[in-house]
Amino acid sequence: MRKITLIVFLAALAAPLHAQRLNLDFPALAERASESTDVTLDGPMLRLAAKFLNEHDSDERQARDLIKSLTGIYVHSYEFEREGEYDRSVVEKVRAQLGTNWQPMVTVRSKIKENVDIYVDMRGDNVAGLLIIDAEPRELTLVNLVGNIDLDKLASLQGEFGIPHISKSKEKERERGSHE
Amino acid sequence: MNKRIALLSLVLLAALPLHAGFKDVVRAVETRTQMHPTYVPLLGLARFAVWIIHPDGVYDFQLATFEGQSRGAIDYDDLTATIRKAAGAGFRPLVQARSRKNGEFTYILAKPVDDNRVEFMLATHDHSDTVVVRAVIDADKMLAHINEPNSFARLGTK
Repeated sequence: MRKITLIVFLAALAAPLHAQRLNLDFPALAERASESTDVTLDGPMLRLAAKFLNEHDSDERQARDLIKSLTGIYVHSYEFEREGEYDRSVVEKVRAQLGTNWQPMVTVRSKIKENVDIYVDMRGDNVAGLLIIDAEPRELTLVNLVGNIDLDKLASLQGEFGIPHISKSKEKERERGSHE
Repeated sequence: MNKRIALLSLVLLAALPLHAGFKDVVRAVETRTQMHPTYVPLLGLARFAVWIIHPDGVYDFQLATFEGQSRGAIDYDDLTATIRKAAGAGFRPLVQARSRKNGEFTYILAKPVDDNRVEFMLATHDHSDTVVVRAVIDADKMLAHINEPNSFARLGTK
């Protein structure tokens, strides 16, 4: 009995060390969306993808180094015909999955309604997971990276595997803001 | 002459392995959409050529095309679940794209064959065409396809 208690205790201790994949699958949202795209890259396919990023291109080399330490890349993207067509509570459902070790890293709130949130799963000094929520009135993109993440190399993944250009959207937003 | 043709056909048949997963996926699409695959002439020969030439990093392919419209509304969740089951062991979903705007649907499953090649199973459907493709391609071509899922559909129409 003591053995079992010890095993359960050790398992409970060990569990938080492994970042978990978040559930970003919302069939009802896909049903309403005019366009939806899901990209799932994990296991052997992710390792294979890492091998074939170009070593001579600095961005791709950084992306390769980054995804070598990842266990999964999950992207869900939804586009709608009209503004406000999707239920914003979905974003809350995603946030509700985040444990206490998840911390907000970037929060962008915009007058023109594009909101970006980036959360990181901190395990001591290491980042074990990342969540990007890019919510626009007609678009919602959810990105979950699972595994050890070198934040310095994170930008190299923009535009790859269906991951949006976050910095570009911020620039776009700044541009729009300056015209207002 | 007939003996030669018979011999060539036999060699072709022996050289081109039948993939149960592909046939099962075609059957699954047929059942779920109520459409029937159309005959594509010289497809076996094209496949044989691909085996030898490897155009665009493609090592092998199988293709089934369905023409016309589905008799009823397609339950895409049911269709993807059925395709995944039919594709067989090792295949994992890679990309799923749906457009209500133009009625397009693309579902791509993949599994590594070795250190350099990936096997894809693709089903794509729009208002007038439905295509199922099984292809073995260079893994370095894979990234381009992930970044542009519709490029897979073009594999089937080349």
